[in-house]
Amino acid sequence: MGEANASGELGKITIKDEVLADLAGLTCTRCYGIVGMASQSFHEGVAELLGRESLRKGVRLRRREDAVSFDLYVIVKAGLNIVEVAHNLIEQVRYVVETCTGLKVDDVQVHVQGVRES
Amino acid sequence: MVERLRAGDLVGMVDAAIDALRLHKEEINAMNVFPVPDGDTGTNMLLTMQAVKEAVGGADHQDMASICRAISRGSLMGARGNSGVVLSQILKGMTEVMEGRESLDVEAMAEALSRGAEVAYRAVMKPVEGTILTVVKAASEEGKRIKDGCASLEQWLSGVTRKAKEALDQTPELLPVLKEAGVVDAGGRGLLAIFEGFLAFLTGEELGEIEEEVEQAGLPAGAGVEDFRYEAQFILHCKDSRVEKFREALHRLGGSVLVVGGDKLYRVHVHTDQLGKVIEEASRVGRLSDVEITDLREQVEEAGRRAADAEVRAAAAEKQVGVVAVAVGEGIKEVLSSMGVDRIVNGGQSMNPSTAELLEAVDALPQDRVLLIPNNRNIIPAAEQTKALTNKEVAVIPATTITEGFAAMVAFDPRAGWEENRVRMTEALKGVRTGAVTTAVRDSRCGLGKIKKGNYIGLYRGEIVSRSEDLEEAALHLLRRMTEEGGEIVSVIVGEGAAGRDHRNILRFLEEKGLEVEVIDGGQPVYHYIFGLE
Repeated sequence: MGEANASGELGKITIKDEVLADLAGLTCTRCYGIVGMASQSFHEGVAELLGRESLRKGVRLRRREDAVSFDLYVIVKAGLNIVEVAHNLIEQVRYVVETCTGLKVDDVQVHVQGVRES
Repeated sequence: MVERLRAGDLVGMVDAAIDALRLHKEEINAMNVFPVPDGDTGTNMLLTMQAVKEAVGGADHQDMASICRAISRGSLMGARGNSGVVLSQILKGMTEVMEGRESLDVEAMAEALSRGAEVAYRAVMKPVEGTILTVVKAASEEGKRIKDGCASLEQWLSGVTRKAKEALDQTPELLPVLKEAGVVDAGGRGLLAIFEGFLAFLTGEELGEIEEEVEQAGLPAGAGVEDFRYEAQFILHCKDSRVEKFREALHRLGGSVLVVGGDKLYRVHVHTDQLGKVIEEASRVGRLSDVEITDLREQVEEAGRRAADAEVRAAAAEKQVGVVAVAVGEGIKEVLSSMGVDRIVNGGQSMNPSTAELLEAVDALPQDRVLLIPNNRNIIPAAEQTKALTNKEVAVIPATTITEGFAAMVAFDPRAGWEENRVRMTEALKGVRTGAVTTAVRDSRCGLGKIKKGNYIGLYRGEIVSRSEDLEEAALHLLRRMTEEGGEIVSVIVGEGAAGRDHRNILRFLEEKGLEVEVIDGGQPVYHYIFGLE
């Protein structure tokens, strides 16, 4: 994985992709309605459920200079408004990453890999 | 006294909840800082409840199961925003218990609320406490605890609502971002409003009376309801004796004024249209930090708000600490200005400015706290004297050369406070070694032998370390001596005596030593070259 840059007048800061992925993954765990992350290799069939240490696996990111885009592979709680939950997640990831890193978040794609009862 | 709720009562309760949310919408929007400070929690919860109302409108008002399913479905489909989704889960859990009953007594409502809290917690991996979740949990636990002692639903709901209020007031202790912003959780406040609406329906009282019983929420009275554009919050470090005057000034500039604290440290909250004036008043009495600006108007682009925030921060920072430096040479002055020096007093070797000149520069700045950089050993005493002659707080950064002055300004952080900068800048002086090449003004002798008037001499650490009839040679000798002790970065400040000359050999020498070289066209008299090695 590479690094993202944020340049300021006092120097240069580099943020590793892993850090951005963890930040996005952590935001998923705190986002209301998201009950799991799925490995992005499971596009079909039963989504693999991941523990906290491998949260990054449910996150794919692309960098472009000082901006970053995310693909998030998530499991949503059954019986919720999936569209609204996904929308909330997009806003939260964008906000957390932008405020914590100063990078611009270009876009966030949420891939709902499944729904389940808690 | 209401002992049982029938299906039709739920319709009225939904209406009452909507009334309560509508009443508090702006206030709730204004306190929305988590998970994303987009100021829409009140709006979202109201829209979610309006979707419930719409769904209930199509249900059989005599049939509990039909109404409960409508509430659940309506909140699910119409859920808006994070708190709307949580609310839909609370209602889903509650209606699961309610739909199987003909009517609802205290026992049933207590069970329903417990289930609501339980279901709500299940839909997130890491529930964040200090939010609407915390409030619903506290309310449901209280509901179970007091249910046996309650003769009526009003009595029960009144206890539950009071507990919800208590839990809401605790949210800043659980979620630091709330405490920093000086608010309680917006979603939790919305839930409290819904409870208040339910209670108003049961008692037949007006909402206002209910709230008085439950007490006002954490924010200052009227927060978010007046017609001001911005909410500004910050920490003010200032003398206790100045606070009263500042508070009066704030009242002239806006509403919802809150200045709390003591012992030179105050938290300030104000709603205003005149952000700049507020910051100006604050920096007049003291120093600001942790500035938070919120645009209270709905649907304002978040980007705009951040820009305003950054602007105010920058403005506030600029006003905190003033910097005066002594320098000579147009190029040097330009560099100093670009690094953040507010005012430059002309002076240097053999042309020391007077204390009066320094004092005039200090007093001319708008700031109450000033850092003074003499950039020459002989000017330090005059700089120190200004301290006693001004009402302002002055700190002298004891830079003895211009290169030390540059190092100090590199360490200067316009966003940091006076004391922090004083320490950092003074510390930065230690890392710099300075050498200079000048012309001997008369014949003399030194350790190196005879020096003739007009010879070029290299000065380092108060000694003459090189002499030559050739400027370049004198400079190279000096640099050889200076670089023996290592270093990473060297700045070469070219004086008027060396202007237009070819410095290539000097630069090549420095580059061969592995140094990073920065050349400044300083334009200073006396010293043809000044070298700063870090």
